Amino acid sequence: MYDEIGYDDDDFGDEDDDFGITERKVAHLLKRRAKLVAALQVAGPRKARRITNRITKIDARLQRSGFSAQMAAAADAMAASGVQGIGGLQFQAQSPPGLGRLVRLPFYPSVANPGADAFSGTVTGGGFGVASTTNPVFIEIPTPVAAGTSAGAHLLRTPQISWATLRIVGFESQARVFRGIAATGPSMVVSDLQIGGGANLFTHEDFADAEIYDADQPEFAGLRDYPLLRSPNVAEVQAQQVGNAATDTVTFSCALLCEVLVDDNYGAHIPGAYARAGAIVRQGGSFV
Amino acid sequence: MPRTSRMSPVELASQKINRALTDGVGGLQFTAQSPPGIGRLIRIPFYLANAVAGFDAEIGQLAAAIPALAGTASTVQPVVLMQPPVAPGVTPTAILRTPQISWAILRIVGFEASVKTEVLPAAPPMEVCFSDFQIGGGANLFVHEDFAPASIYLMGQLSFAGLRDYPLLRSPNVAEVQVQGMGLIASLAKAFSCNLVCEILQDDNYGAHIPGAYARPGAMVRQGGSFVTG
Repeated sequence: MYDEIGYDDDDFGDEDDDFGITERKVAHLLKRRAKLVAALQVAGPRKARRITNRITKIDARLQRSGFSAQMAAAADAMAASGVQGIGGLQFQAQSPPGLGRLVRLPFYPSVANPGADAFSGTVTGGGFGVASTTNPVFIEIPTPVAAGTSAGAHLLRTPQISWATLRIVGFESQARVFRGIAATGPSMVVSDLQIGGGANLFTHEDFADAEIYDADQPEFAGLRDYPLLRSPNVAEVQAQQVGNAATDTVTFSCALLCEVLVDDNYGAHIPGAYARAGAIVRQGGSFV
Repeated sequence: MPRTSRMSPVELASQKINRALTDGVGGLQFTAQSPPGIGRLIRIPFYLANAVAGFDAEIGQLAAAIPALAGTASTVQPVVLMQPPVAPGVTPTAILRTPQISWAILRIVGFEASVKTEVLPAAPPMEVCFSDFQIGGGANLFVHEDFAPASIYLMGQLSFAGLRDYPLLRSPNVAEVQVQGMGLIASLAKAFSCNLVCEILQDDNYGAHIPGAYARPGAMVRQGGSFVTG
């Protein structure tokens, strides 16, 4: 069993080397020492003595060669400063988030408001005022009459995801506005994001400008919680167009931002650091 | 095993540098934009709670249905349409308020605005200006005592604008900010909305959160130790 961790094989010999040691050999010794220290925790008294002797021998060898932890740290720091910031300059490249991270789950217009005539209301993949569970994009067209209103708030819903357990970490929207070039145009507002009828995940009890959650923003907006989304639960949100001109329309879609925790087809993933258990423990340990 | 170098700090560092530069590290780091974490960088919208002439909360009614300059208040809809001034210069001043948040203790860490702009203005466009951002009647959190253009606080900027303090927001206190337009009579009405950027410290439904590093007590201790903990 000792040989499995190699603490009793002496492939570096007993030769004294007063002229130094290669960096590779130091790395080898440090790796061997780490294994021995780990094995020491579970070894019996006789085995522990042998391991301790071996560690002492390695330490002596490292000391003779001029190696010290401080020197290694200094070398690492120098190397890091050279590699990561020559002249104080660092380079960053945007990277993919990793397996199963920051996936988007679209909301579909499960309710679409009819307008006051055949040319207004919420247009979905199914047509004017018809719900759609296949295409998440919809167009809000106000009713063009003097006392008209926009189509009003209506419900959007994600599909049931039976094949995965997801953790919700954000909400994202995208609005394409059609307006006159001299007009400020309409806005989309959203409210009441909830999972399976739970408490509102938005911090605003009423409507908020959907631009807060726009996909083009440089950062993600926060939520009150990062709950799990498990089938048959679905996420719901209310959306509405507000504007001041009958000719202004908005083409809108929105999505949940999720981490895939367990996928029936692709296995269990490790979520991003912001969605790991350690990052979402509440003060006082109220994490469920 | 061939001995390639002697152990010395200088040799070790130079070897590491050379290896890293030639093996492809090249001083390049990879980053992915991430969500901020539970209860961080959340937004609380401001609403036009009291009607003011020239300011209409957009409640889904079209312009033709809104009496000109009568003023429309709403505690539900955050987008406000600001009419041009009746004389060249500034519009009346309106006060926007956040609702009372009874279910949480928040730490305010920012203010941001969204202004809907014309692609090709038909007249000199109005500018939206903010002033006197305060919590529960406290001191102004803006560094400017008078009005400043909304462009300072626009959403989509690469960085958040700073504030004089990061105070707590506890019910029944609310946040208030004054808004005013500057333009010509011929300027077109301008739609805008604005929000608080907050960290949730304690949520009645979801528990106590750990705020972002910028809002932790250790990051907000003043010289002289005048920090008041929540």
